[in-house]
Amino acid sequence: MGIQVTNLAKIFDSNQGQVQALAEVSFAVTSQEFVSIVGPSGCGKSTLLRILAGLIEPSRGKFAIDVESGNHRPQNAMVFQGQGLFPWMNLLDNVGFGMKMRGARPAEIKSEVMGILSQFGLEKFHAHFPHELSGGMRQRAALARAFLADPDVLLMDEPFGALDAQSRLLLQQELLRIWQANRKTILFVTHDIEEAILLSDRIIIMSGRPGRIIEDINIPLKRPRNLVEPEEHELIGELKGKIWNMLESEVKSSMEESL
Amino acid sequence: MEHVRERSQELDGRKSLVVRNIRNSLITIARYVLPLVLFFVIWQVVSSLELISKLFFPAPSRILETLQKVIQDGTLVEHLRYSMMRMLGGFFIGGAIGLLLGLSMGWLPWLRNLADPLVAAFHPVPKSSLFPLVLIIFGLGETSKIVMVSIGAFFPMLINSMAGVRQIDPIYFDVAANYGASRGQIFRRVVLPGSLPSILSGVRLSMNSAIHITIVVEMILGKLGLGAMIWLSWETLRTTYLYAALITISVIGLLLNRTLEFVARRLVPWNDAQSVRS
Repeated sequence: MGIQVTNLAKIFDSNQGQVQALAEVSFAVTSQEFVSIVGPSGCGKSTLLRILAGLIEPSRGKFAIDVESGNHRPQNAMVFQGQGLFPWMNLLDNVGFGMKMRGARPAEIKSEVMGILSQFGLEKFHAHFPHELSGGMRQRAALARAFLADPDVLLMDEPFGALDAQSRLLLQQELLRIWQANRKTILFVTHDIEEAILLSDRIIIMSGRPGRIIEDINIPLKRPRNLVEPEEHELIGELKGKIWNMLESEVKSSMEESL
Repeated sequence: MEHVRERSQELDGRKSLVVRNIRNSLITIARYVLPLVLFFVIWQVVSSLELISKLFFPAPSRILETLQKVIQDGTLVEHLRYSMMRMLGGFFIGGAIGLLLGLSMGWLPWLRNLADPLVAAFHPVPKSSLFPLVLIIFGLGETSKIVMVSIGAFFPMLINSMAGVRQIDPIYFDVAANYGASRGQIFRRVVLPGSLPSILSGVRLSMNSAIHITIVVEMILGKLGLGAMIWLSWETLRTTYLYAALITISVIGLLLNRTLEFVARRLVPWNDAQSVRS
């Protein structure tokens, strides 16, 4: 159930000519590993996830997601930056969307959805529409939808980027708790270095456009992790400094480029 | 004993809620009706005092008499029947074709590229100017009138449903594709509901265009229909009949628009913030 990415590159055609978003990226993620990708904005992190999700084709290179043989589970499920909950469906229909697309019966969908909603503390809101919920609740529902699909690989594109600090902490805790109980391979894109350290087993650091991999760092923190009062705060501080040193010049040059 | 009192308090609460609701709707109605009543009262007084021409602006009381007369002798119902048939017939035919084509053009880039120049070329042409051409092609009968109304209803529906699909956030298509939705499922679960708010304002624009074209073609051709009634009144200078027809059209338009508004609010509960009122 791991991911194998080999020499993946993506070039977009735009009005100003061709833009290389991703340059020859190779890495592997083993089964049940939690890997984060950090890098300056525009480094092709989201492009990489969209290729792995099968939403766009790579220009060069290839990737493989090992699928456990003999099951009908989807290969991947993506959690989008803006949640991507359909405004015209209540939570029940939103979270059960994947099951419905695979032809599950309504009764079956309802019982499964109610199960996952209660894991995320949302069962009381199953009949609510997204606009009736807070940002944190919507993001929680988006996570529930992805976990319910029970994919081999979860692809998360800055899922907590738009949340306030407190909801963000709450959702990070919930994500770890549920992942601990139901281990999946997770590829998590973020631009928050601390978030990447606290959540992942490994961090892949990418350069500015065109995105290359600068470094691949192991995060040797114990699990299960305490996000509020981590014991190994010295190690965390050290890692944070190390990653920032690698990223600083990339972030600066990508800021100048966007001027 | 305790629960009896609670129950009666609850009933009191419910009753006062009902009373308040009734009072609120009475206030709403009064806010609409009072200005109109005031307008007609002033008109009545000014007309009775002969401060304005009785021929051009007959007193509301005389218009009412005429209305009563045409209702009783059945002529108004006959005119109304013809107008409604043309209006609704054209609205449904033109609206349905416009909806299907608009959704398809919004969703399929190749069809949009193919049809957009045609739409752009025909859309600015005032639809009533096509009547002579339509008469040549479809003859002097009922068909050409319904074709005209269909054309009138077609364009707003087409433009709005196409725009409705195009303004759907691409993320919803990504989500649907990521969860394995087929083309048909994407149409039913994303394209249709996503464009519904815009479709519904298209329905209202279409309906108003259908009313407009119906009156125009009836004024030009035919002895029956509200448009014909207006034209006949002008030819015979029976202005009270003219006003009676105008009032009838206004009432019909108002009723249809209110009904559509009500339906829209029922169908698009997620669109509370940007309601379909225009």
